[in-house]
Amino acid sequence: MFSKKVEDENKIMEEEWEKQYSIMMDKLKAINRSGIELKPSYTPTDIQGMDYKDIALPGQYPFTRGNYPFHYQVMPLMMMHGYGFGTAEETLMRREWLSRLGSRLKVGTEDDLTVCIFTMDLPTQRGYDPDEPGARGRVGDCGMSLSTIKDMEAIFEGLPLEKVLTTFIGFDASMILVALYAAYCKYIRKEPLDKLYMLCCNLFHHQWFWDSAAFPPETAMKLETEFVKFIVETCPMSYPGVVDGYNVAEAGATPVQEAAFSIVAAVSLMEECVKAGLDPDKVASRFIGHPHISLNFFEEIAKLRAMRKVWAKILKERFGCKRPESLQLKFLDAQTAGFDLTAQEPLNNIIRTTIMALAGMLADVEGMWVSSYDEALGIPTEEAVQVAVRTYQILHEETDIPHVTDPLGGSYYIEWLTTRMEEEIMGLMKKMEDLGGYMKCWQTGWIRQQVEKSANERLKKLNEGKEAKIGVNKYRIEEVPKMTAFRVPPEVELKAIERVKKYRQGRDNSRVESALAKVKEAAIAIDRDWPRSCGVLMPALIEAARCEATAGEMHRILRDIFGFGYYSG
Amino acid sequence: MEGKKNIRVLLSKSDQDAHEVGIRYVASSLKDAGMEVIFTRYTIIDEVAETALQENVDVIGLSFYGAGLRYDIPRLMELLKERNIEDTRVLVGGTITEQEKAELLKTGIRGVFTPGSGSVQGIVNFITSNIYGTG
Repeated sequence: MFSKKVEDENKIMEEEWEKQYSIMMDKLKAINRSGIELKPSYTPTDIQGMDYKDIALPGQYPFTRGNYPFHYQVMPLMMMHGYGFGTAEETLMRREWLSRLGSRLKVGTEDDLTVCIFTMDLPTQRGYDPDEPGARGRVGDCGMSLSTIKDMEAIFEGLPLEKVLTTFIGFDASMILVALYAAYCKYIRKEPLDKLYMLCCNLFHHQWFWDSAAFPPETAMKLETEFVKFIVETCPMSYPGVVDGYNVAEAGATPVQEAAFSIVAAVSLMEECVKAGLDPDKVASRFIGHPHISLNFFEEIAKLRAMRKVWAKILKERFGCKRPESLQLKFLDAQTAGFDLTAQEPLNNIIRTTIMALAGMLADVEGMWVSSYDEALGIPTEEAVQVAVRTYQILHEETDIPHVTDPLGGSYYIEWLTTRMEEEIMGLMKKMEDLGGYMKCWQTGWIRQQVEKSANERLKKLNEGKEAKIGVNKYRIEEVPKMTAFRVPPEVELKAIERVKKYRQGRDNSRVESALAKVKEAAIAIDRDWPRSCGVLMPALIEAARCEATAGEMHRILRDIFGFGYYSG
Repeated sequence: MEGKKNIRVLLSKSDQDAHEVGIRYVASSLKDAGMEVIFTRYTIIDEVAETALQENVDVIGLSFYGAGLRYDIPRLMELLKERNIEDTRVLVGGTITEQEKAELLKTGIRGVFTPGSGSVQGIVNFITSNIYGTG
């Protein structure tokens, strides 16, 4: 970094300095959330011997300093704001509000896309129609209810489809929601599917760390691969794969665990795709990162830089990918941490999410979802959403942050920590390999145990006041939080039930039945003749959606064929 | 707690709701306090009443971070009554507003724990004092 002469002089300076302060230096050592010991300050010695090629320049392999030579200067931070509640009508009102606030986005040369990142209600996520017993009391609450091609029409009517960024946060049901969307685009709008711009929610990988019912692991992997194949071959502008760190971190994983677990899961999916005959170069560039950004400010920045490095190296070395875009882990949807936000004094959360969003920008993420300040209370009010949108706008348009890419690049501390995080991530990945690989770690519940251990350690610290939470375990003045939470009126459920019942009455049921029989046939083929059968299920689902089958009817077939209700510990 | 029978607690949540960190932490804290904990996920709330009956539990604890509270709770109370186990103490935790809390307490719920309720020890103490009648 410096000339030999300067380095020698510096060494003497550092030694004297360390001698003078050594007692304090030892006393003041901290440990970050991932367990890495931190000194009170860093010097050139800490990054001596580091290979400069490992840091490189912005836009250069291994993309430590970001994926682009020029970033926020030409491509604004994408506002990846998810929303949705009630049915299409209620959700459209929220979209209108977001649009008035200026929440549109620009992606590359595409201008002004309408953001349709929809959070789905729990029954839709689970694959239930609104009138099924398991949906009672849950329809349209904390997400939008959507079960038919007609519901798709209600939400997308009038929008130019090539100017929409669409995500259905539907987890297990995402595959079916995308089938309904594709059927709507192809048969009602008569538009080609290759123009669609979708960021698809990860389908099945979440069950190794959270407690919602799911498909068995082997099935989950097959279905996810089937989905990737469809998107890669039919909607080449869309992204079917997610390196999903956010959800595992919310479940309790430390930043190093988050990075290692989410990368290992994605790599394992890549391997399955290759087995099913897909070209790794085509698949890799269709993965996006959905990382978590907590208040561990520098640790998160270093984590994001390290994740880009690790991803690039694996894709290059293990999969032999050549195209630069295959090696870039694009953080299109980083998300500010929900678990750091509090119900007490909720306005403090604006400060917290701003700090997290700042970390995201300093780590050069492409897009971000800034949580609303009432996150700890429920889904956001209009006012809370407004503040979240303003957070991006102020960071991006009022400050000087966008002028310089990777402004922390070269910092002794950041470069040292990025390397240390990378070592820890690689170490944990190696450990999983030694334990028999990702699927084994999932099936034995090992990942779940690791995540739960970290979650409980963190909660214990908060409980005992060893980790500060201002207004909660420190300086507390508000005994009972003044919660004014957003709630969806219960009439919405009745409306949705009525609607789906009427829908079933108005269709040609024999046509539906024969289309669903084809779905069943395809699902059996996936189950018994894998990977040769890869590619048969998505077309059958789209055809069923076209024949007016509901999401619940399609999902039930998958549950019947594959089994459902799997938990990993 | 020597000489007293172990308190049996059924902790459960909907299998649609992914938010598990809270209830799992409560589970481990109750176990640390010497209670017997049964942890389940339910597809419909009726399953909780059935398990409570079969397992002969003293306490049912439910967690709601998503939807379902306004349907599941009145239904559960009805089902407990039908099975003659309405003396089972039902506790609810999650993102619940003060207004919702007041309504829940009216339906016979013994305790409501929200993000503002303070440490997990509060839940442990609440259960112990409720069962042994010291509170």
